[in-house]
Amino acid sequence: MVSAQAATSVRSFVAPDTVVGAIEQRHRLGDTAIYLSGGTDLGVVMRRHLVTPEHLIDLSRIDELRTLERVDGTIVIGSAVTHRTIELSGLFVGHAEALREACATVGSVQTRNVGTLGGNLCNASPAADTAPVLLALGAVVEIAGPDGRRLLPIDDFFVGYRRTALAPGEILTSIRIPVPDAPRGSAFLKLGRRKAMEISIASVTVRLDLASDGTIAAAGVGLGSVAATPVRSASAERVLTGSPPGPATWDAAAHAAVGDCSPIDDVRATQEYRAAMVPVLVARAAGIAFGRARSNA
Amino acid sequence: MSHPLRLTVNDGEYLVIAAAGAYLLDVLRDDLGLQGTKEACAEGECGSCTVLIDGEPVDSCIYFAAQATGKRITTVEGLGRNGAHPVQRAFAALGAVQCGFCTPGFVVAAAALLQRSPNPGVDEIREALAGNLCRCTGYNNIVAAVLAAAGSQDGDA
Repeated sequence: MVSAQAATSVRSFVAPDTVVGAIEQRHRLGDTAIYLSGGTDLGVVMRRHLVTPEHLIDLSRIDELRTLERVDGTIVIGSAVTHRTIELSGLFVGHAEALREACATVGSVQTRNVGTLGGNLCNASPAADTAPVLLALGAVVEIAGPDGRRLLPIDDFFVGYRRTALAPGEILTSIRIPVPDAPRGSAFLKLGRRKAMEISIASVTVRLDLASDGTIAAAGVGLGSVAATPVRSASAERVLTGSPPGPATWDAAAHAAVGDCSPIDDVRATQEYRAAMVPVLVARAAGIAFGRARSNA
Repeated sequence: MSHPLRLTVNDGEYLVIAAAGAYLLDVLRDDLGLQGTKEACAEGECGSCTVLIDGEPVDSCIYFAAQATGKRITTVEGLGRNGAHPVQRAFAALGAVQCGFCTPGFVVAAAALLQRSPNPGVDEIREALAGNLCRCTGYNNIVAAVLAAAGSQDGDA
């Protein structure tokens, strides 16, 4: 048990109210400063003294980062929007149900009330519940830094184990999910040993867009906890795209997805178990996603 | 390095001189003497330290005190100010307590549930309390107590 004490490395705590203000604070305070979103990951590793910043820059008071809205064909989620807000929002029904499902499985209510989507992504755990969902949904992230803003496909955001494409001082400002006119369905499935407070053994998201002739016009498949980063299964997506929906297609995609995984043994499961579960989850998620796409048609 | 923090706890205003990296749990217990909020795991797993921030349950062990400025903090002491809260009465009546250490966290989380969902079903109660661990009771009496509290509420939860 960790005895009660403050994070003693911390000398200052600032809460700017604009993105520009936060970036200026980061520049002024230097590399011993760290951005804080909700803190449900950072608070834990700081309790264990694994991360010892001297300055905390709280991003959660910045209005821009807390907006959640649909702008024409895009759902725009500020990086400091909490998992709980997404879980309870009606904005994702029919378009991005998988993200709502993933947010609803993060930790407990206590975790979700504080933890944020941007924090989950920047923490960059291969087991992050929301990351494979956003890969499957083809999300784009907006990043602000000292030199201005840039957009990046989320496929390019996770560059290694717990490493992101963020340069020092940059802030993930928003996550943008394109919403097509075509019927779309998506589903998130998480394999764990208990229902709550669980870090996944594996997670799978499948997104299907239907063509007017009933075939699959486009697909996204995201996998969590099966590689050093959250991964997108291009092989499974190729199998799905242009195929007729149905169990044979789901099974072929499921088989293909295994080739895009490189799972490891860890305390939660073995490599073999993960490799065996991925196809089960992909086939199951594809079936659910298809049912949703049809009902959204 | 210490900083002055203005906190609103159980409707009272407090000025606290706390370390910049102080967690809310420690400020509540050590600076404000509100020891109903418990520390067990100290890493956001067990829910013993649950308090309400603007009415929503939060693990105060991994929540910096500075994050709470400008927000309404409610501890278990704040729930019971006007006589025992319906959840507290139901916990006592139905034996939803054994050693009692986790109880304040459960009471706070359950009170928040009833505030937003006055008549929850068993699944909804279990989901709302999934972030609270109890090593004694086996949970059945806790769920029963929340159901009973929901039935007994007169709108003052």
